[in-house]
Amino acid sequence: MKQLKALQILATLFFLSLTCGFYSPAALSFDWDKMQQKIEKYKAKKKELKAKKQQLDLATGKVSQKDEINIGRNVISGLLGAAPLVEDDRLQQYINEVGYWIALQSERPELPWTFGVINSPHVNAFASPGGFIVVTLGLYELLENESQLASILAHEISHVIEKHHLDAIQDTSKKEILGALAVKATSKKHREKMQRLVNSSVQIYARGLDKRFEYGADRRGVVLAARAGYDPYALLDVLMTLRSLGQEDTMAVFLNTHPPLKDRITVLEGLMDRHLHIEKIPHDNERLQTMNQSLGKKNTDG
Amino acid sequence: MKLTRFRLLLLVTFLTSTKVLASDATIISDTALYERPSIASPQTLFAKAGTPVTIVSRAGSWKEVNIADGSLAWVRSYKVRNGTIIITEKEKDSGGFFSGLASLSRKASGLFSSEKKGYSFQRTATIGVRGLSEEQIKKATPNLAELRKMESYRSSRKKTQAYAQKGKLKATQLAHLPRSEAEQ
Repeated sequence: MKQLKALQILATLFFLSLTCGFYSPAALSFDWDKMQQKIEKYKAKKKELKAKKQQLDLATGKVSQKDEINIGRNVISGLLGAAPLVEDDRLQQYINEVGYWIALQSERPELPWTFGVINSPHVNAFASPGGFIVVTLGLYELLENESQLASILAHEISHVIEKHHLDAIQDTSKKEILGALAVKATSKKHREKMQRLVNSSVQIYARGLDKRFEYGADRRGVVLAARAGYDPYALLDVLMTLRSLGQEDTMAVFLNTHPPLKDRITVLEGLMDRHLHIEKIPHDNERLQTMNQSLGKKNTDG
Repeated sequence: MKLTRFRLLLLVTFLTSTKVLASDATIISDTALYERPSIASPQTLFAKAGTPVTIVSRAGSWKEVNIADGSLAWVRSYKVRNGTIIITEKEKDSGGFFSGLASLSRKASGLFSSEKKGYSFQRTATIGVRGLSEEQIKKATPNLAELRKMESYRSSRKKTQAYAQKGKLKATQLAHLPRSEAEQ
């Protein structure tokens, strides 16, 4: 490729000299090494500019979609390190179908949306940049119908759409992101740097986002769920169930990282009363209960 | 004689312990009931958590319910939940918030085939202590094998659309809501 480029330049120079009447054998004595040096110099400059651009993008809050997905994959792998997936193919496929259907109604349908139920008794759900979302079994088992599952997934999808976690990671782990993105993605160094990024990023999930982002994800989530044909009021049902759990141990992280449930219910209720006008509330398709009954039976039998 | 003793036993049970309520829905938190689906309409009744009702119709975030005495009223949708509940008098008076809601939800989800044995966490217990407490999240190390497994469950656009159609889900256009004061 490089040689082809050099040959092209050479041919152009040759014809140029011909047309201009400067033809002499000296014009053909081309310094190949010098050319090579120039190419190397150009490449180094390009790399330097790329790094500077990345630094500038990071400073101004821009991360490419490719990098966002890369960061998100690694961060979710950290959470999977804390709690693995529930070993049930049907359950995992089910949550992916419901989740992707909602994501298709969002502003970023092109992301590699990936969902999972993780094996933890804690009640929580997490979203990672690039479209990676997990719900704990502790939360999943509290859901009564598909609309309620959709309401949780739509809330998390909204965090991804709005890049809430990506922004938070950028704020706290600028150095780590830059380190991980600056080296070749397949190298050992990259893995080490990514590990450092994961370590610093997962802290956000223990600390929580800005509470305004949670209200924002509630607001956008109910609309996404309604767009996908689900009952948008199902989120209020879920919040009410969670509120009834009170100060249980399994709620500790959730309660620390989210605004008070009472406030979320009041804010959402008022907002939906004033601005959400849906003529007909869709009936639930009863798919969640049907599937859960067979899962529960299989588990008890096994 | 035998019958009288049975009747007496029934009466004692009824008065002292629990009430088995047969209805298709239950009020889950103390709430006012309204004449129309609006808080601006007159309040007609006040219902305690645990009151059995039948859902008659629905309008937005409101449900129209039929109470045992035959009267109709409107209540906030999330304050009514499908299902019949066995609720003790003590629970009924405990601050008006139905603490048994989570167990009701777990039951309604169908994941639990019996009261005691649910969809257990034991199946992966061999991996070690897992969880998502604050400490466990902070100490988490990446599990790339599990990530690849998660990605293997990813759905395709075609499969998802077929799935939505099967579940009678229709996509509709809807604009986002304006920001609330809580977001300012």
